[in-house]
Amino acid sequence: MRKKNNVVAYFFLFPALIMFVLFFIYPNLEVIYLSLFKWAGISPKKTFIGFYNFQVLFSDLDFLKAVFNTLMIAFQSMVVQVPMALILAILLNKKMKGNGTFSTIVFLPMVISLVAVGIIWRWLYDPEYGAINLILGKIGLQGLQHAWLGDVNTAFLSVLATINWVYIGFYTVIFMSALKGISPEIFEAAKVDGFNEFQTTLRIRIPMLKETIGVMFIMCISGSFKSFDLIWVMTGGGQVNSTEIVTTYLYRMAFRRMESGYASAISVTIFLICLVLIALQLKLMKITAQE
Amino acid sequence: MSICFNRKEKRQLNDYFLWKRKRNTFFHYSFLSFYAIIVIFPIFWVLVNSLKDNLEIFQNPWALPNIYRWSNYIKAWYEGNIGSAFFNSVIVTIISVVIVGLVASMAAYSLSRLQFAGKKTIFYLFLGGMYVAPVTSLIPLLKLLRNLNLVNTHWGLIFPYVAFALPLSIFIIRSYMLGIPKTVEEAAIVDGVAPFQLFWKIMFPLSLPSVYTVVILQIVYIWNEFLFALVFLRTSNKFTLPRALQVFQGSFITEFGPLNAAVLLAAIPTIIIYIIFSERIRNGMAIGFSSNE
Repeated sequence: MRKKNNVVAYFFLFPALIMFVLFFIYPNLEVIYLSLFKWAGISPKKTFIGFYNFQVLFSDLDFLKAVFNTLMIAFQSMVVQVPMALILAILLNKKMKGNGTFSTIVFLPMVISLVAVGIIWRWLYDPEYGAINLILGKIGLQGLQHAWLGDVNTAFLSVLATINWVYIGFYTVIFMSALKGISPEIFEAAKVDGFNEFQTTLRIRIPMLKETIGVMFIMCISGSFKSFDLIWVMTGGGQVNSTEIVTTYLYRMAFRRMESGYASAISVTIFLICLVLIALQLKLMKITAQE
Repeated sequence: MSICFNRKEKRQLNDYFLWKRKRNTFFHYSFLSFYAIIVIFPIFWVLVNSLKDNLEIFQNPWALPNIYRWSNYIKAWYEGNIGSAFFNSVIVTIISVVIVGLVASMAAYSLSRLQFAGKKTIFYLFLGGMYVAPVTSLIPLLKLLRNLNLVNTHWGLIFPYVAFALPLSIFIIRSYMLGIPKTVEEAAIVDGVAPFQLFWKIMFPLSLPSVYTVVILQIVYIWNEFLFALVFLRTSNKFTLPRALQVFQGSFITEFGPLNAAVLLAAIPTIIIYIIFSERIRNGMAIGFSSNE
């Protein structure tokens, strides 16, 4: 019995659809149209300039620097956050006392407002009164004391450390649930074969979690194209764009320099990158479903 | 072939395994404790120093406060506009999550139970919405809100919040509804429940666990949302907490005590909700990535 039930179905869908179309789909489509204009945002006057915004964009060194920084955040997440999360997940999945509490703590930063996190870490990095410099002073490493966020050379690394502090817990939780999906007999067999923890991880866990890790890598990229709050609060883009990422650059163009047409072109670029990533991710997740 | 050990060898072997277990346990707890300290320390540091004045902070940042200066919290609450922002956040968050809970479960009902033209398209539209960055629609959204006269109003935040919360929420509730056996509804139809009432009388009450997950998750997300609040709100009497916090940071940059108090006031509600519902929140946030559909 597969009767179509259009009236009832659309009755229940109607509120969600109207909200979604008006405040999600329509803006995401209109931005494509807006990207073809020179437009200051507040004034009604728009001048059609075709794809000129995109031409300028791809030779705009500041934008390319922002793209580079964004991709560096993504890459760093892949090589630091994901492996660290895997180690934590393996430990937390063991039946040991206290693991429930540890799991709660590891994920805790994910629920705190990123503005609050940014302010907390800004203070930790404070050159005079920040905890990090104070600790370095106490243990006799005065030489390493530093204006962490103020120095062009360390600002980006400092922001990365904070990003790791927030997101490692997130990937840990995903790994924990994925690891539970591997049947325990495989680990028994590995034990019989004399594998130690490290070998088990390398030869069994990682190959079994291939798809999960693939999805995570995509998350790292799409996440870095979404993040805004932390960097905006901690450095506002930093000196000589040292910590500028695509989203902060977009914000600056749209609401500080009033180049809304140009900023729309940046939006379209981010949107297209997201689309490619969604396609990849859905494909990966389907592969998992079929196996 | 069997291997025989004499007593001494057995004892040595036993000792070896015992030692190995101890070593593993030691590694386990030292690694996790080390990481837990890294996570907790910044929060603890803010807590301790939220109760001191500047002089105490500069002279002895490590010590517990001599006098607990709760006045820092009062200063942040009244002078720093955190109090009014707190109420604004409560209003915006509650209205948004109530709408999301209702609207998303209705849509999830259609998408999980009913057959209709365009079902696949609509499902993929919502699914794709889970991954689009909110920042891309910022400029047209502001234009739209201006045309609707909603800039600098709470409804101007609530509508976009609901729209952006829908994809994940529908996804979670729909998955849950797919797991409810169809026989439940068939029995209800036999009992004379009309098709329109099936949702309110049967499916909605039965899927409440997933609706709770959605509501709790969205409380955390919406409470913490900053970008829309930054662009769509203009005057401080409308600010939500993250927005007020950011302005507060600019004006109280030299007063560490009240600044720390303000940070904690903004963070504590979600921390408490997380401690109560930690399992639900962790699984909810990870849901879009581990579920294979």
